[in-house]
This record gives sequence, C-alpha cells and structure tokens, in this order.
Amino acid sequence: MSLVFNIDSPGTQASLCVFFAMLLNACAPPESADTVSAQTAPVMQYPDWRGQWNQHMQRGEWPTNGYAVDGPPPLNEEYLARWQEVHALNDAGILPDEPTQRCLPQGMPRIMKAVYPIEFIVTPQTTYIYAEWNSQFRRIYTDGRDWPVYTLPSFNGYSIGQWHDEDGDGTYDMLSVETRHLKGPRIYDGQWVPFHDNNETIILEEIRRFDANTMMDTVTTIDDALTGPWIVTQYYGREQEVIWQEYACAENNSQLRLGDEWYFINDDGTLAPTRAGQPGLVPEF
Amino acid sequence: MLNSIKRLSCLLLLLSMTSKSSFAHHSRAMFDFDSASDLAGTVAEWQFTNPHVFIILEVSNDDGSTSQWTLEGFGPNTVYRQGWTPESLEPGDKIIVNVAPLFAGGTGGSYSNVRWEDGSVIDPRAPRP
Repeated sequence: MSLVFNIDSPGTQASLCVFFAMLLNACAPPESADTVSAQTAPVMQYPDWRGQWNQHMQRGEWPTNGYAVDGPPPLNEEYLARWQEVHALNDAGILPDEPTQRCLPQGMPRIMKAVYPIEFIVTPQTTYIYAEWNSQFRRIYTDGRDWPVYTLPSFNGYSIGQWHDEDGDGTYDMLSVETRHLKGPRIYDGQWVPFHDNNETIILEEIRRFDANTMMDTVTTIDDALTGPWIVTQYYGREQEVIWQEYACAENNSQLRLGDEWYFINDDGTLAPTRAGQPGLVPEF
Repeated sequence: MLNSIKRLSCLLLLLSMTSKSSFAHHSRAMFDFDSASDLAGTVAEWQFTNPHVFIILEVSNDDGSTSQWTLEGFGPNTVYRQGWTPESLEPGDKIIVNVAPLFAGGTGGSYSNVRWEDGSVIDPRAPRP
C-alpha cells in the first residue's frame, strides 16, 4: 500500500496548511512572562521639558534663598575655617581664587544654579542639559548602564539617571540622577564655599517640572567637607522670550591670575594691580 | 560653648558678606563699589564680548591730558537681554557712566548707569539719527 497525496485536492491543501501551522507553533519558543509583559505593558511617555529655563531666585549663592535666609553651608570644622580664611583675605583686599574667573567650567553642582539659562533635551537613552554659561552640556545616561570601571574625572562628572512615573499616568515625570567622578577646582558659588580636596563628591538629583512654567532640581551633595548631606532645591522659571547666546569665556577676559594674585588687563594690554601693595608684575628682561 | 562660638563666627561671616560679591559668576570683587562716582568721556571702543562687555572711554583730565579707562560691564548674555547690542554705542559717543574703580587705583573699573552726556537715558536699541 502506498500513500499518494493529491496535492491539487483542496482537502489535501487544507490539511497541509493545518499541519504546517501546527509545526510552526510547536517550534515557536514558549511565551515568557517578559514577552507577555512587553506585549501588554504600556509604552511610557517622556515628559515635555522643552524651553529655556532661568534662575530667578538667589543667583549668587548656592542655597535656594541665599545664606542669610537658608543658613550657612554645613561645612565641617576644617573647611569652615578655610571658608572663613578666604573671606578674611577678601576683606583685606586679597581676592580669592574663583575658577570661573579663569574661565574654568562651574562644574557640578554649580552649573545647576543656572546663572545663565539652561535647557533640558530628553531622549530615551540620554538626557542632555545644555548650559549657556560656557556653552556646555551635561550628559545624564538613562540607558540602564552601570558605572564604568574607569572614567576620567571631569568638572561635570559622570551622571547616570533613572526615570520615574510618580503619578502613574504613563508619563515619566521625575528624573533621578547620581553623579560621580568629579574633579576640581570647584566651588559651590560666588561666595567661595569649598569642596573637599579629594574631589570625591557624589551628587544626587531629582529633577521635576514644578508647574507649567517652573522646573526644579533637588540636589543632594555628599562631600567630605560637609557635616552631612546638603540638600538644596533650585527652581528655574520659563523664559518667555527665548534667546540663546554663545558664551566663549576666553574671548576677552580682563581678569588674570598669576600665582595667588589677580590682575586687571587694561585695554592697552598692560596689567593693573587690583589692590594696593600687590607684588610686582612680570619682570623686565 | 564651642558650638556657640562656631555658630557666632559663622553668623558674623554671613553678615560680613556684601552684595557686591554675592553674584560673582565672574567676580567683580576687585572693584570698589563704595567709591563709585560719575565719569564723563568719549567712547573709544564698545566691546561686546564674553565674558564681559567693555567701554573704553577717553576721559579729559583737569590738566588737559586724556586718559583711557577700561570699564567692565556685565556679560553680553545679560546685557543683550536688557536690550544692549553691539550697535548700541559707537566710537565718538559722548556719555556719562557711574564707575566703581579698581581698589588699587588706576584707570580701570566697573561701569553702570550709562547715559548720554546731557544725562538722558540711553535706549540701547533706538535707531541712530
């Protein structure tokens, strides 16, 4: 007895279809919980943080409302003494070092003071924060990466973030960030509040939109110069007239630091002292 | 007792901070704002540059000589948002400015309150006649 299939028969064709469908189904991988969840999980939306955001509050001092209102920085005894010494020098007319005067980046967390406007650029893998001051970017990686085994320290550090949907509406509304691998010199603000010399600062942030025209960043600074974590919230208002400008600090910087002294560069290229009794300038050859 | 002394010294430090150094994104602490006074002269150059704009001002002295003052303003990113442009001033403009001089003296300082020589307010974006 031989089995002969009549391929032209509709019945045969139908049977073959059923057979191959069953064969394919048997070969398909079993549905996993992940597959099921991927198919049924909602697609998360990213928040709309577009705009130009500017610091409208106390711009020269790191605390939200300034030191007079929010109190002094929680420096430990050693670094409090250093800070007092810096102010004593300033009061005596000997200007302290200010890295931004030398056109160095503000670094973290000072860049988040937004003395000049900032912009949040959200992509699924990375959120960029553009700062007009020095025309620079921060990168906050949100692609699930782990900390690198090694990375070069930088003024803005290496930042890894995670999105959160705090109100469960399917749209992320908070970005938590951790920043490490910072380098100096950095200070918190124009009052010369110092970081520890070891630059092992860790910075935690929670960035949210406060309302339609306000962004906020709750910044927790962990540093060995402090008596404990220093939590400060920065608020940024939406600029209605958006103007983005370039900032090239070295274009015409009139302030020159030689050693421990500041000098003023006159337009004719000569140097002027900034205090009476300042040490002599460049010797003549 | 020691904690009280620390708190007191911190408080005294806070009280000693002056507003002129508070907003020191690019420090203006080398200028003596307590000795600011008006200075009249002729614009030699208007430098609309980062990190500060500058007015180079030719000033006539009492003895008939002239001095060239290097006067620093805020950053262009700030003054542009206040209406100032690279065309707001031109060489030859006769103006009055309020100047906080360098602590050490000399012909440098920080300027503010720019006016025409007759004291009228400058509209930085007004078209030139």
